[in-house]
Amino acid sequence: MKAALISAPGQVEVTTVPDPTPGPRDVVVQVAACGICGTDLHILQGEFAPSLPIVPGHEFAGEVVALGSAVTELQVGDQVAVDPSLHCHECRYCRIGRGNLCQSFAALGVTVSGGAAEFAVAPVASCFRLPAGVSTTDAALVEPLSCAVHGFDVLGSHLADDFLIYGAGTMGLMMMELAKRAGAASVSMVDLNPARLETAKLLGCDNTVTSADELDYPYGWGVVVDCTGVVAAIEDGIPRVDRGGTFLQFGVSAEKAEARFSPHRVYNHEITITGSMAVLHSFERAGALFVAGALQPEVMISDRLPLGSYVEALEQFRAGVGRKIVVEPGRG
Amino acid sequence: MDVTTSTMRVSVLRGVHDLAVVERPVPTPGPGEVLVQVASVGVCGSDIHYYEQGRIGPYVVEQPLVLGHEASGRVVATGDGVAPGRADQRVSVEPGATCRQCEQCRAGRYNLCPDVRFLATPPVDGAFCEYLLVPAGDAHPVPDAVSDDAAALLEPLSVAVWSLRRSGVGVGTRVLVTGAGAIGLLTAQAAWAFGATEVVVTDVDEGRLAVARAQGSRTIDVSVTSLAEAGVEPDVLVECSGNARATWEAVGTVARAGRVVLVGMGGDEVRLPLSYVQDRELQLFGSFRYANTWPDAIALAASGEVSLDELVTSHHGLDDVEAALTAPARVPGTVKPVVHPGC
Repeated sequence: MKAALISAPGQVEVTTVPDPTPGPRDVVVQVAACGICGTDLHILQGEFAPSLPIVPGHEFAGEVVALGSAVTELQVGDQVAVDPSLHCHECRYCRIGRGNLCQSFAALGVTVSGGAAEFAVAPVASCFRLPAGVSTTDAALVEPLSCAVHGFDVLGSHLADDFLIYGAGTMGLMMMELAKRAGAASVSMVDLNPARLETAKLLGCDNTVTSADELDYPYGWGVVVDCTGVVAAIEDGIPRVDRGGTFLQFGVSAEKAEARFSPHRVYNHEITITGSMAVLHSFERAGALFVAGALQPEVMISDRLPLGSYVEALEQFRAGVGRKIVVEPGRG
Repeated sequence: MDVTTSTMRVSVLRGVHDLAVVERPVPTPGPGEVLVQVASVGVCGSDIHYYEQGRIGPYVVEQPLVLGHEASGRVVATGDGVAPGRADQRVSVEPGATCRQCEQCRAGRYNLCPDVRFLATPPVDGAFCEYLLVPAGDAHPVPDAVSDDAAALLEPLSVAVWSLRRSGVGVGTRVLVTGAGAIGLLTAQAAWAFGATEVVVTDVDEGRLAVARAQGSRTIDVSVTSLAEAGVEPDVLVECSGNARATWEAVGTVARAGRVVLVGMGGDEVRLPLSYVQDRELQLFGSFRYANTWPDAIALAASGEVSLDELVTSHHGLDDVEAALTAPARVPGTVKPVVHPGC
């Protein structure tokens, strides 16, 4: 089959690899679409993946075309979105119910072959069945949405809070959509890229600005979310948290990045600074939200490219052009 | 010895009051499984129920059943895909193998998995045997500070930990535990460890109440003094008796905005003072088994904050399972008989 393959740091190509074979409790998914994510760039830089080569791609959906010998829950022809998480169930963090913090971190498209290919193998337990009428090419959005749902699990309920979100990329826009659904009094977004702010405005964001200084919220914001991973944005955002409010680190910073904050203010105003990492018990709810129309895929997905253009897709993502970029193996 | 090619001794329940020790092949661990040489198995009320009546509700003993689900032991063989370093580990066995793919498992509430395969629940065999297959993630390593008996009793301690998590017991909470059986006594101990400022335990058995007092809890013999007379006003009631009248009386003492968690299994219908619940904004919770509790239970046992060994009141070999199952009825003061399948 045709697949993207990262063979060594900095080396990625679309090539031919053997068709995958399912284990007893796996299914083979014919990939309809696979999203590009920052994690894929990290893998290309030689990070995250314990060994290369690897077929990347952890945001994918498609149609079941083959079943392992012990699979009874799904049938050939079912449409599924796939949770890429593979928890070990043996380490300390799996034992306390925090599988997203698993010490033996493993995931489709990171440690084993993923969805940037014509076919991908997935454990049957990781498949969320999509009802008829839902586009599998759009359903590649379920995985990033499940990360956003976990972010809201970490935040807890914040009915009628004002939200300030840094970064109007795919994840920022998804957090904005969920904030509106979760009863936010208002959602404001900050981005330096006016094109991204236009999209946020189109999706109904209350305020879209290039600097939070332009906004008039004298008490600050009950919830501030960083979806950039950029230290300057983080340091701009933490002081804007209202008394008793929460700052959520959602964006992925460089591993060695350090940001400054005022510990006095954290103490004096009881500020919570917390983080959200990937997916935890949130994939099914994200699937249900997606089916319910929580996202507008035609807005969220800016580019749909053939699998043969995987390298170009990565380059475009790296350049920060567009929003969610997906490759569709069935296209062209 | 290559255990995988030999046989083992197994105690089977063939019918009501009908136990026998038989030889069976030692099972071979499949992918993701470990083989545990069983050291200690606590006797639970459910084991006694199957022995006395052959059923618990819809679960009926229709073929020979191995009882026992509170087990500890040592890993003697591992299947494919198991993390390295598991061989020779002393482990406590979490007895419910869950499916990991149903709605409840995927939501992180695996104790509510409808497809769980729970030890000693028909048709799944339990741990009154020399060797037991366990999913690797359900065989929890324990430190040397936790004895084999204590490692077995991490299962009922997990029930206690889960009920306290469910009801939000923490620093400064006043806790009432109704029923001083093994679960009630463990819940009282764990409540102190969770930071409770007051723990009151009720029962009608003076011997059990004496154990609770020795653990530092205040006790009330409700056959002598009613809760109302005793002037108890807990923030959290952990109901461990399953007794309808005890439940009714205890709910009516809970403080405003307090919580009630139902652990004990009694009748299907229990009267509740609902206007009291409404006026005081009480919250009622069910509590079923446990999820993700073993690391906490191990820490409580290893630190000595909860004493498990002192709850063990008798020891029995595999030929002596009947004596273990009948001890609570025969021997006053019995809290927890333990079976040692290797003896």
